[in-house]
Amino acid sequence: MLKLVARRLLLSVPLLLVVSTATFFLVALIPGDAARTLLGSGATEAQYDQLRRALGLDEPLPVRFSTWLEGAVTGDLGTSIFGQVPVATLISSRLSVTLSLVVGSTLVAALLGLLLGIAGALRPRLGRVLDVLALAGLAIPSFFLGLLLVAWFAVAIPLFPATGYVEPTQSPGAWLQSLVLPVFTLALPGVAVIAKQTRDAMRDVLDRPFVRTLRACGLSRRSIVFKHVLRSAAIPVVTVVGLVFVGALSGAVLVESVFALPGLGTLAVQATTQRDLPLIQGVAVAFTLIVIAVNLVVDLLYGWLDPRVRSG
Amino acid sequence: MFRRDAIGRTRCVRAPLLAAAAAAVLCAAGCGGGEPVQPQAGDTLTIASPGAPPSLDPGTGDSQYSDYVNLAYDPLIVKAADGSFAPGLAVGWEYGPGNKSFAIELRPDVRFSDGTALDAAAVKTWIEHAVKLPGGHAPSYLSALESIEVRDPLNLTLKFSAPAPQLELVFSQVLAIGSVASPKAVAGDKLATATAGAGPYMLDPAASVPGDTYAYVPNPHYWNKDAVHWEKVAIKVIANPNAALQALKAGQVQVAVGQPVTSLDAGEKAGLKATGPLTLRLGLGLNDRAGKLAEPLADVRVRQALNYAIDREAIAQVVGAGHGAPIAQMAVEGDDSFDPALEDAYPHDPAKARALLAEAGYPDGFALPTLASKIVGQDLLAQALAGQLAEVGVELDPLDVKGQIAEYFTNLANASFPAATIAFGRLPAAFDYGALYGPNAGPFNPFKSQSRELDRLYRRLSAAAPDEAGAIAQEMQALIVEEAWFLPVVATPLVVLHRPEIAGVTATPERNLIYTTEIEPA
Repeated sequence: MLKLVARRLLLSVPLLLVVSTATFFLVALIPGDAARTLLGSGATEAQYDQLRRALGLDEPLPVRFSTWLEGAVTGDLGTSIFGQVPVATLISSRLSVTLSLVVGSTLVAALLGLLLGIAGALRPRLGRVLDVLALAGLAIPSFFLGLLLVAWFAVAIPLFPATGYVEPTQSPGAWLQSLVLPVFTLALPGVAVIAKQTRDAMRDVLDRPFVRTLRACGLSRRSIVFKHVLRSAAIPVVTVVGLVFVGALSGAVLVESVFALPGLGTLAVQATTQRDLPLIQGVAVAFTLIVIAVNLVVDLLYGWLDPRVRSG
Repeated sequence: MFRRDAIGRTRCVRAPLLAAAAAAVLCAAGCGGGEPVQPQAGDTLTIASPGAPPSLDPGTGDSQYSDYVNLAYDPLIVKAADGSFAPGLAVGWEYGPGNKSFAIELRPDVRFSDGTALDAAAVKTWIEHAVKLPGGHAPSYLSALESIEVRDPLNLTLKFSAPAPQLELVFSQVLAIGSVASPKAVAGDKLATATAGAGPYMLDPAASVPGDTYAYVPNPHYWNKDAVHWEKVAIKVIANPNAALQALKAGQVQVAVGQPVTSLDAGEKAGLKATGPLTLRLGLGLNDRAGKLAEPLADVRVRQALNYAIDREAIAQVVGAGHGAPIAQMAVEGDDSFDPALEDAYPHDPAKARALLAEAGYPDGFALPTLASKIVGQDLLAQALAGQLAEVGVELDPLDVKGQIAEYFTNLANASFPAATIAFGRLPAAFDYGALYGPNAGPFNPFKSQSRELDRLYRRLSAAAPDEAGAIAQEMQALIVEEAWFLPVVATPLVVLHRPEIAGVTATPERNLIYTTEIEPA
């Protein structure tokens, strides 16, 4: 298992390098730069040139990239051009928002998805209803669902706040309250996918001969379903949960916008619009690290669920 | 069957339990956490803003983010809602002969939020900082500044090498160059992320999240305690207009600034109050006036033909969502260069447009490559113009609509297109000359068009006494309209929505921006 972890961590180094290099040069290729965005409409060309020099945007791209990379390997991700705040500070101030949102929505999606999937596998009629619900869950755009939930549960019945985020250290109740609507908005497509995957995997396992054997041995039904069938069916489900988490990371961009949450998604959009290259780089690295961590957790879960993976 | 009878029962016990647990969590969040607190007047004012400022330094002079600055910085001169100028940190000011000097007398006994005293030396340090700030607008407004003489602790004089117009506006809260910061903070180079003004509030960095929430608390050293209406003011960045509207309806925020024109009706329907004076001038810049990329544009008859070809009323309805006003000049009622007579300069007359095109040698029209942006409805404007101009044979082809503002500005500044949609805030003629149509106007005059007559009028305007300036500004406007340098189409409002329990959210044709410090409990 340790070898597996070490191998995955080693592989993450070239992955980070590829992502940061690609991000840097792709963003730099887009016409326009931060100086133009900073100056807006009323500036002269002389002012533009002066600001470009002040920001170091007049240096060749490879020089700028190597400067950034040198800083990054020592943990210095640079300073945001807009706002003049260290990138690491900006990311750390917003990481908890996105992680709360994405982890929360993945947990909700996994819990509800597993429940519905198991129910669907054991009750074929329910399974057909599940197919329809899965389709609906995937078809409803998250921003639309978010707006509906806000109109119902924040404006018409003021149970939850319409926008904003409260730190758990400030008030755990208010933190939970601020997350309910965005988490459910983000979780819905995941619920549909996980439920369908669980149902299909469970039905496949339930048809296998070993389940009949277990019954014949007199094992209780609960034990058969939860100890043996679900565990055997869990590997593809864990894969899907991992994918749902990664999907939720990109979905968070929209959901954070609808609920005005100060997360990494809104930061990424803002940085891209403003051509704030150090910030874009920092956010890309943060997202990559999260995805690497999730993949590692998924791999470890594989090992826990299937001993063959551990030995291999 | 195994699946149906036996295992199904297990589900029947577990699922309701889990559902009940989920409901309990929801209830704990929804009920246990308490209902959203309704705003209490005098307690906290929360303002929704569509964007975060790149810098909190008032020296940038970016009026787009003036709400962030004005809470913490009193200006030297206050622009009142009726358009007049009133004392701020300055109690008196006076132009010297030919507008080549400007004397300022400061208010005594004023301290910045860091405790430093305001004096003439502090103002000198501040102005010198603003004109040197990379990316700031002060160099445009104070380009002829030669020296600053500190006469005594409360008096200073700015001296210029050429006439300097509109200094009251420059030093007001609108353009923020007079929003003086403490000299200690200027030296410390922290103004981008902190505040050190002589305004009613100061930024509380511990309660702020850069790019998302900016929290302000009362300034203990403020000279005018009666003007402090709130125990706390927060500006919350909400980029999505729908989210801002819902937050207003739910009472989470009390004021939403910079909202799109489409939010006017939705806001009023929801019982909110709205103010939306005309703020932006939208149209097409016929920039290639020498015909380098599009030869036909060199002929004034062609540019006039384009002005005759469009139905401004119809386009204003669409682009302004029912709240826009058609304009035939680059000015709106209330601006110094606005001339009512010019509003009829180009009535909708496609026949006359065709005749002028034929006279200029283009009876079948021509293709006009056009740049557009998606910002504030310029894409909609471009589509409407393309349809109407096609009727007289002028095709906006290719019509390149840029989604990113930086990309639009780069193409505009590089003179890649002979024509481009523009959305430009309202300014006095002296600043329009500097930023919109003068030879050094930057991206909005990319081909460096120049008119000797216009330059002459600008020089006269700069040196004119206030009672003479209006007529000269109108002459400049008349020249621009006659030469058809632009195709002005519509003026649109920038909307501010607010809850009824809030007062002082005032924007007028004479001052189209609200002044955040005027907001108080109703």
